[in-house]
Amino acid sequence: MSKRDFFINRYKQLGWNFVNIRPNQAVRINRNNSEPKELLLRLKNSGVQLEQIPFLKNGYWVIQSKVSVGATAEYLLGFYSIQGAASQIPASLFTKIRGRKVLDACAAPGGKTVQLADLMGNTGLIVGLDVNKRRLRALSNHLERCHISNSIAYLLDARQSSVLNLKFDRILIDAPCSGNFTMDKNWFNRRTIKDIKQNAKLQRELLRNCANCLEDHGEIVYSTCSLEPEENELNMDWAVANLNLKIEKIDCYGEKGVINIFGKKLNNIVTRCRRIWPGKTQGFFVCKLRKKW
Amino acid sequence: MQKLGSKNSFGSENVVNKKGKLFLINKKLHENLQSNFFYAGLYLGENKLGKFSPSLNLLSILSQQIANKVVIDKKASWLFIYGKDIFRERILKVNGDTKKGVITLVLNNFEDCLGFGEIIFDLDKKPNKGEAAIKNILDLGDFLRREK
Repeated sequence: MSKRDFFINRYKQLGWNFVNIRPNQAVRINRNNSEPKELLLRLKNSGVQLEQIPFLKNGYWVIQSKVSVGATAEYLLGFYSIQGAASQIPASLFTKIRGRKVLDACAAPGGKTVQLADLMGNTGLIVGLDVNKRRLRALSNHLERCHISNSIAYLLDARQSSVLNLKFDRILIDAPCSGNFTMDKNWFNRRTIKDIKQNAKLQRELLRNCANCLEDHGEIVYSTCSLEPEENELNMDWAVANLNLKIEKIDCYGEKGVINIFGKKLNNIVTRCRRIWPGKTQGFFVCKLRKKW
Repeated sequence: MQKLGSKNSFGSENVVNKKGKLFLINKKLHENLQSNFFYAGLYLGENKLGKFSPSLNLLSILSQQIANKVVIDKKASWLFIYGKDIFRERILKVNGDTKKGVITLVLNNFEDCLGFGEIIFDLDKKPNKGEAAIKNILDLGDFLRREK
């Protein structure tokens, strides 16, 4: 069996028949910097046609564009960000985020940090961490371009986040993961189960350390762009069993989390997660956890 | 900022300096800031060898106040963010000082700040054919050039 067939067979066992797709390009309007109606008109006059994504408040598909949407004056002015539709979901799941203390545990290159700041109306505090200096520069550029004023970025591994001596009300863990085939045409050749298990281990370390920095009643949103259950449902099942966290109900695009994983039955509550199989968007997984008290 | 004709100033207690890079931070950030930060609050610019280079954020703040400004047309705006200089005939409106050597903000016809430049030809005089009136110093395209 080829590596490709091996993974496709796994997806089939999880309930999805493989389709080779290329996700649509999407943008997100930064409401702190621009009014959608005005921006849509300006972009239309520059040859960029956008259409609202039904399941996102500020997300738009790029229907047609005569220019690169990453090089318009409006983009450089921070009026919008280029951000995949599924990637716009995690930050939108937090409740009452304005004025809060928020940790973006794996922040670079900053799409979700900027989205959090936008949702917070530049109030409160966001601490953004990343382990890679080059990626942190990209994050800084993104923050500067979008006029974000409520964020602090550190070159720090989120597994060491306790050194900051801060407790957070909300934590976003958009975890480093194995990715998926929609973003990388060589994905099937490059990936092995060993990689996936290594990533799952790192993700559990991130979850454990971030949970220690979470205030009582605080929320964690965990997401990956992996389709592999080891990095998704199995990690959430583990978090519920080991980290004094419970999974919250969420109302967003996607299918219920899978609880029958290759013969292993997970806690029923894992169905509250959302699994997004590739289609209009890239593949994605998201789950909202709350600290028990 | 004075060179741009602005009278604005930020309280020194709100500005932190990290290896010459200046950041404007509010009280909440100040309370939680640790010295090893990489980026914080609003980036204002960099002091290098005694010379201050303003950030595009700072220029945007100044553009909403009294300062030297020129408003340019759509074509010139497009060219300006690709690093080009500005011809006199592309300038729609001028505010503040118009003399040669003056530093001025450059705005598009929506009055968004695109960057700043130096007036290299008195704007009230007729320029020579093919001669730029404003030399580009910094423009928004810098965000793209940095990433390369």
